[in-house]
Amino acid sequence: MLVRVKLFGPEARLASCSQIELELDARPTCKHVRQALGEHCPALGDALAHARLAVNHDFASDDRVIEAGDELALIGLVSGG
Amino acid sequence: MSVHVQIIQGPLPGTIGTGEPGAGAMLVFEGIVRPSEDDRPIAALEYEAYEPMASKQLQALGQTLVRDLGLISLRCMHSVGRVGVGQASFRLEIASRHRREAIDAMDMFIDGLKRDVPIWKTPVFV
Repeated sequence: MLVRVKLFGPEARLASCSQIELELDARPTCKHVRQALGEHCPALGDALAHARLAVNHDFASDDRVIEAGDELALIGLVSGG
Repeated sequence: MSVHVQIIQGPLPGTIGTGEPGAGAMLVFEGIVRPSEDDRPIAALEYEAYEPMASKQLQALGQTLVRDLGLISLRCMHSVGRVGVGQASFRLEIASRHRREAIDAMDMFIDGLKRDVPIWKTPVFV
């Protein structure tokens, strides 16, 4: 199953891209996605530990199952205001 | 640093009021771009937002505070793109019956913004 994860701000700069594509087993969880992100892009390093995944524009827990068509984003430390 | 005090005859000039029936307090906060980041001078901040999640999070944050603190209204604006030094990138207006709940809501909203709203800033150094 192809999963695309959008990146922003510091994480996008660390990874030198605004989106990462991962090939994962069907119906992975957010935990699987995080692990795969770390393996696919070691440059994310410690930032991954502080980042959260959002699924379809809501923060998601590690056990959230990803379905085909879901929109994923890695949300690191934010800095609005 | 300066302090300026005036006693004015009648209604104060230049205030925006609220337009909200029953409001006894109106708080306005503007976030202004400072001239330096990490002791280095900057020309501007470049803001990036993940939409529509950023608007969704701001809306949810505002609705929670209006409901839980009994506010009359809450209005928020946030910039994306380039905002120069001395310009505002964030504005929050809160109307309430009494000052206390508006002051509390102001802090709580900004704390939530800096924790849960996917907006990032990048300094544009001079």
